[in-house]
Amino acid sequence: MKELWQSRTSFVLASIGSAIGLGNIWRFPYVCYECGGGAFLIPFLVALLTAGIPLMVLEYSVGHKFGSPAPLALGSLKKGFEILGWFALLVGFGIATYYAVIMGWAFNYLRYSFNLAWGADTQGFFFNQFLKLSESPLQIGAVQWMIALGLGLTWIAIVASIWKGAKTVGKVVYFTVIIPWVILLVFVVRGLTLPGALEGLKYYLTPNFDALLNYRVWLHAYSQVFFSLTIGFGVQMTYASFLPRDSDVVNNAFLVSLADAATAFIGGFAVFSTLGYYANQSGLPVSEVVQSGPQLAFVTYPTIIRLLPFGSMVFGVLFFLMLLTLGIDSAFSLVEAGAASLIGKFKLKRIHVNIGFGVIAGIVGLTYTTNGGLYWLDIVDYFMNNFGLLVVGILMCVAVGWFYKHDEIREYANSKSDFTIGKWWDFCIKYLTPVVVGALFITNVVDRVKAAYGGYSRIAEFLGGWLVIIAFVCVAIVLYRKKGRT
Amino acid sequence: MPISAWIMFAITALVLFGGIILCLVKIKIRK
Repeated sequence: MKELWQSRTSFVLASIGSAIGLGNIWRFPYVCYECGGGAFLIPFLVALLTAGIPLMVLEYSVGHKFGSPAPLALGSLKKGFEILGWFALLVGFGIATYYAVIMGWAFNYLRYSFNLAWGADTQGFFFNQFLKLSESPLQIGAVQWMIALGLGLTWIAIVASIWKGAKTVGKVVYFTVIIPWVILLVFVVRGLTLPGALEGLKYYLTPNFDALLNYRVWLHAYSQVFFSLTIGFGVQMTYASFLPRDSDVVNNAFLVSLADAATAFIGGFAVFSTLGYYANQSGLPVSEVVQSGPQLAFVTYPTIIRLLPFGSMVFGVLFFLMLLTLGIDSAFSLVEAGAASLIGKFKLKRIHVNIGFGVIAGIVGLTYTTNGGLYWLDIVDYFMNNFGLLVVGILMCVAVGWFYKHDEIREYANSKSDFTIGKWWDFCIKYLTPVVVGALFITNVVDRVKAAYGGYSRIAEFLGGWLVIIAFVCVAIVLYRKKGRT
Repeated sequence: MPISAWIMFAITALVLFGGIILCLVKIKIRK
């Protein structure tokens, strides 16, 4: 029997949980600061309204209309597009394999928080003691067993969360969405009451309107919205396929997209107020302490936590608990979309698919727990997002905008929804989003032709980037050609 | 913080949180 969400709240929370991830905290505030501060909020809101929300409406509408997971729903638009659906899910699976490793780090740091084990040299602790990072990706070294243990725990949590599909996911998300929101608010309040907080916020919000004349700032805004909403993985499409037939589409898409953007916006207050405090305590300007990504979460934040006037241990535990709960629902949504698709097409048993996913992804993930693991994580992350995901985004718009009656999709969405969308949606899907995302893709290709990503060797870039993409395309074709069971 | 920063803050908060409230109100009306 087809899995269905038990309530609209379950669906909305699951979808929000999938969209909100680590990037809302460690990517958005930094991109905002780098791209004109408060002025960046203009292209960000424009990108949200012209690409983020339209794509979310597209994914929900297609998933809901055809009532099947991403590959099968896209295959209903036009048969060959099933390959696109499988490729999207494989990109999501690729991301889940290293996302789980980052959560494995967070599990370890949660434990370290109890005695602030990272000490004064948080940089040395993270890179030398914890990761035991080698000199280059080709010096892969050995598996770090504490990280592997964290990875194992993460996969147990992911598999348990999707154990009975939408039924268990719908319950777990009440915790994994609400807990990080509450903790984030605690950090905002704590941050704003620290000395130097306003100085930090000045860096976050003071607008430099000249930045709006730079086309790359606009591309950054579109890429931020695109990556942040978990669109292009087929996750939202698959989640929408679990909705009952009379469910809303448009209002849910607006609600989820706005909630995701609001979380990132609020996340900036937590990050920059504490960075202001750090600058105040260290005597450095905010511009010298600002960081993003793992460096922010596992080096800068532990330093700030240690400097707090009281309750360092409590805030350390809360911070890493927030990272874990923020990340887990994004990770299991990627896995659930794949699991539901395999079950949908090949009628496999859920228990076999769940355990199979956990074991295979866990073994693949061990690569990132080695001494050279961080480099591979960085390369795979860049290629999955900047090539895999962008290609899916462009082709998804092309599939609906050019190879299907897009007005039929819009009318379907409107017929189900609390409020309706106009023809602006058709314009966004048919022209605007493919052109902007296409420009992003071309910019990335040109950058990579000029030089290998991140200063790595061409061989490392090929193995961690292009080869993975080629392998995923091949597997997607095999899954498409393999006959499903009825 | 300069006044321009406060204005950007107010506009963004209004769009995002105003939008969320409108969506929730629509849900309430439908019920």
